[in-house]
Amino acid sequence: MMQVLIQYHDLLLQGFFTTLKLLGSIMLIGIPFGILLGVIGGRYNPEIGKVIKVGRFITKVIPVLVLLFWLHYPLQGLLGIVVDPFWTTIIALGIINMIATANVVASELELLPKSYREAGITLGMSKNQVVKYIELPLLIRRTLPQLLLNQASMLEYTLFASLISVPELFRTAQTINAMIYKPVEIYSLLVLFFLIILAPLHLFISWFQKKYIAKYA
Amino acid sequence: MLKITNATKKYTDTTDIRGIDDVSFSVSRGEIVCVLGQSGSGKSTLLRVLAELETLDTGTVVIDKNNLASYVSQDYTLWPHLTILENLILAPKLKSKDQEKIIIEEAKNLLSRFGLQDYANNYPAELSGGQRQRVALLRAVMIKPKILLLDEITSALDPELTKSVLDLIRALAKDGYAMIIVTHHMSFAMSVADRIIFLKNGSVLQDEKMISFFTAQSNPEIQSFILDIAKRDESIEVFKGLEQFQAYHLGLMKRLPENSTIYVAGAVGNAWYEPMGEFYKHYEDLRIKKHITWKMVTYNQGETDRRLAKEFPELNQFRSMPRNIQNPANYNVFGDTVITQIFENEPTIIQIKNQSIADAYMRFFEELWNAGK
Repeated sequence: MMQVLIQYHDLLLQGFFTTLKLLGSIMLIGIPFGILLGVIGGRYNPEIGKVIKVGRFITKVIPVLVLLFWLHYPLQGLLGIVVDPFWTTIIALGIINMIATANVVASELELLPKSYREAGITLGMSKNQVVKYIELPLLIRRTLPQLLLNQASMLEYTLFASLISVPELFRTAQTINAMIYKPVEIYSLLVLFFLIILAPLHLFISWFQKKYIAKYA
Repeated sequence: MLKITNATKKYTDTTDIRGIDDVSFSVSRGEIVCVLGQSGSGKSTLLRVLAELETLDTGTVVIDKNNLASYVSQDYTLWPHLTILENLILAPKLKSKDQEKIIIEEAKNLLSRFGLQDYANNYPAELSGGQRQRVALLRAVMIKPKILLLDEITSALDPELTKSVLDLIRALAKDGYAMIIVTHHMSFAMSVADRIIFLKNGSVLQDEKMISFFTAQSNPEIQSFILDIAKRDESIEVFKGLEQFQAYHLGLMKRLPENSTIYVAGAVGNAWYEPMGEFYKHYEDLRIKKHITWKMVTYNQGETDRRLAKEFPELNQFRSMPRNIQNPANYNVFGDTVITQIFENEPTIIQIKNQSIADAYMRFFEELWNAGK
């Protein structure tokens, strides 16, 4: 395994960086825009809240892989355009991430008791102070675990990009395996990679939920 | 201090229209007003309007300058991510950033005064419902309001926890806060309120001094409401119907110690003797034998009263109700017990066993007695 790692570290690193770029871009689209959409839908505009719910339903029932393929082949064929599969992946997963994030934020905002805000207002706090000292800290505690879980799912979804020829980590591993045929070593390396990245994340989420969600939010 | 004039606020619920309709009243400094009424009568809307959580459709709410109103609702509104101490100091600290140390000291003192000092660094989820509501009350006090608006703050608590919260309100009442309290605890309302406002369909059906409201109630609808809430109150017992009425008074005569006194405010002619019927003779014999005194302020004396005053003057001390009395009353006090009676239709006795209520009613009796002739 170490031998493969040393011999093909350039290729593996390229694949790793492509995965990172994919994930980073998906997060960059999904998190800020998702939060914005979630706040609008959960607090200010119930119609947008409904659109988020419908969007979340659609992205839940249509498998990510099908959606990715549909965006990559038929849609581009229909529109007569060719988009780099790297960008197709970012757009598809970015939108899924955005809708998932918006749904988490909007749902938690709806669940946040109105009385917390009212208590602040009746105690003479301004609306901004209520948001800063009460609603935002509570919302972060309530949404963070689910948002992190979503990002872990996004990392897993990036593997599907390999099927539309994006040279991310999994595709790179497949390419190396095609050259030297050492599936045990190569795929064990992948297992290790995901373990190193995802195990601490899941442990952190469990710890966070125990510490904050059950007791204090 | 607080004046609400022709206030109307309506909103459509899923099935009907709720809110308040043309409500007007005022509250003076240190006055405690309890708001009663059936569910959906607009009590909570009224408090939310006063707390400026709802805007009025028409009318005005005027609160004197520098007289902050602080609102506590029936939900546990403590912020769950902050400790008890942080809950108490957040709002005042944001108002006076340079006085954080003083504010923390005040909060700690307040917690100590009400036995909650050990929970200062705990989170709300680690406290019982009663403790949380007490902290919510103290948090409302921390901004130094002149008026406390309390909306059914014990409705989600069991009787033991309710008691601890009501005790805290009584203590705050002694501190001189004006309060408008929505409650369904009759004995609590009787022990703290100066005035009762009864709402029906969002309008004020009655705005009356507390003692008159409970003891000389002439509105049959409110009488029935009082009986209803009395039945749900642990320290109150209701005796309804002729048999229970007679049995209660005979039983009372048997259990009262010799040489004790029953203080009666607001007796009216023969109203009491009639439902006692043939049992009255037995009652009178027992009372004379045990040397139990009636000390009575009456609206008017019946024939039996006059006979008793003549035959046993030392056991029957009667005075007439002062003419200038504006708030009628009709109740008896003995020891730690107050009873009020309804004579219309079915004779009914509402018995409240509560020392602080008995003391308050005794004080009012003394006023009547001293002013009477």
